[in-house]
Amino acid sequence: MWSIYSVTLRGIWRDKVLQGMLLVALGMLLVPVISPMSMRQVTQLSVTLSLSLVGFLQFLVTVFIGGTLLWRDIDRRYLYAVLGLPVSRASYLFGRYFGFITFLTILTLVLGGLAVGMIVVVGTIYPPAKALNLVTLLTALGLGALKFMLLTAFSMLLCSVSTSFFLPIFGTFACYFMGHASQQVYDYLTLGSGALVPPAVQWAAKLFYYAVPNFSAFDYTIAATYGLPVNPAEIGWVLLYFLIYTGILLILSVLCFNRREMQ
Amino acid sequence: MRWWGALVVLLICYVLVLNPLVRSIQARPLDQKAGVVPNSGILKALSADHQGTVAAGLVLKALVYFGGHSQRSKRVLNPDTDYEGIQRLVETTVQLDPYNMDAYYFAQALLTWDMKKPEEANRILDHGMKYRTWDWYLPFFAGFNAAYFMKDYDAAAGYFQKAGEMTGSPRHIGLAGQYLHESGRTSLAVGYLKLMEMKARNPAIKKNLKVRRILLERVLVIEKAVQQYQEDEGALPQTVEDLQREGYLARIPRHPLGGGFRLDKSGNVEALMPHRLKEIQPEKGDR
Repeated sequence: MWSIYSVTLRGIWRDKVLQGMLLVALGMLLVPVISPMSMRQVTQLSVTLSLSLVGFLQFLVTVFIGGTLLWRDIDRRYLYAVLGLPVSRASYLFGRYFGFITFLTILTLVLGGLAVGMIVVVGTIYPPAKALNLVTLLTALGLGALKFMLLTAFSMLLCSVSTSFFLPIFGTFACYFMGHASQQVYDYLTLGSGALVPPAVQWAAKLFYYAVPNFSAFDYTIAATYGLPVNPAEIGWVLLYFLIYTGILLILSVLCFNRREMQ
Repeated sequence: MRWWGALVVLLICYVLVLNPLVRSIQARPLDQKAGVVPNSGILKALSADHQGTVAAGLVLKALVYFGGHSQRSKRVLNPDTDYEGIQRLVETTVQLDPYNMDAYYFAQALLTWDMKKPEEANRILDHGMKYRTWDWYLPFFAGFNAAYFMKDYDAAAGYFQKAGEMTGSPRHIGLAGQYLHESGRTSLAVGYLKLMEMKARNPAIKKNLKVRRILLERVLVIEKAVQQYQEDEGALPQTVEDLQREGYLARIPRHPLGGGFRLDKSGNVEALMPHRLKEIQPEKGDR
């Protein structure tokens, strides 16, 4: 597994993905220029913009690199050579996954550091009425990275069942948007307006809510923007949820991948 | 086999974690704010040909926020509600989709009574009238705001005239002249709130309007007693208790939120809000 892990990391490095992302992340230097356009919440706008840019880059990397890890190996017939070696399919899958999420962690550290730097600069020039909460800001960045690790596990599952390029890419896109919308739908049904929706639709919507990954659980952008404190117990539940859900997805991926005919 | 075993164990853990996780998400203090919304021009460009959907999503967000906030706080009128955030969402919605009636309805329900910004409500309604040229509700709402909150009777008459032209109903045309005397304001407001309440589909908005309507119905009872007292005695009563003592009121109506009523020097009834807002105080005869 470790050899696959290091090959994955080296491959991403060789493709100059980090450098490319850093080039795009230079856009973050515009944050102190754009933020003063807000009339009443300059620092808050800088937090929102910075976190959005970090999230957007993580999303691109997850979909176009994480989502095509297995597909590229199959397409280039590299996978058949690897599986001819004494490497189990599970080891191969885990090596790929952990290699990619290590890269995602490095990317988050670099982009997050840049974002925090820009936010601190803006916060020093335009001190907000309510002080920035660095713990919440770092929590938002960290949980944002976990969200994309979970999304990568989902794309691994899609890759393990399909040879097509489209299923992992569009499936990951769809999962990302559904995972964000599910909490809003659930809240709509359970907080106030549920009575207007037929019971069958309510039941189906709740089933959908429990089945798809809940990315709202990882979303602390608003808390970071307004400097709200975070509840450690709540973070604990989110971490537990991440570990369990990711574990389920990876095991399902292994089960599907083991059954797959490789010709 | 070991993978299947691990999967079963994780699925059991997942079921066990779901309930506390969902509870912790719903208890988050995130809804202290309705959230930030990008500039409507930027959002318009980004939404391409999905402006209607994005607008519907924003209004839904405002409704979920308002409904959830009201329900979680267990109070009808919640001073912690981020009304400014809701206003931002509504204003952005009508820029993206100027036909979105949910947004106009929401603006009318909250900007007037809760936020005390009838001028801003009318600005949004005026924007809507340029597009929803068939919809008499918008001028009707604007006319009510002009008359009841802003006491701009000329503007109110203009709006009611517009509503009347749309429906062809002389009732609307005559509204300005019929109700806008000092004594008729409360009747107008009760009628207006009944209409709003009847049309409201969101339970939180409906409850909010119901409280307002019940409060004004009780004010109206006292106003009628004051009028009768003045006709009989030739003078104004000093207090609400005087009306009960002299037999003009069988009993003093209860304030629906636990506050009270008093009379000013001109005999107008003032509803005093309690220091701490509570659930509706029911009274016999309430609907």
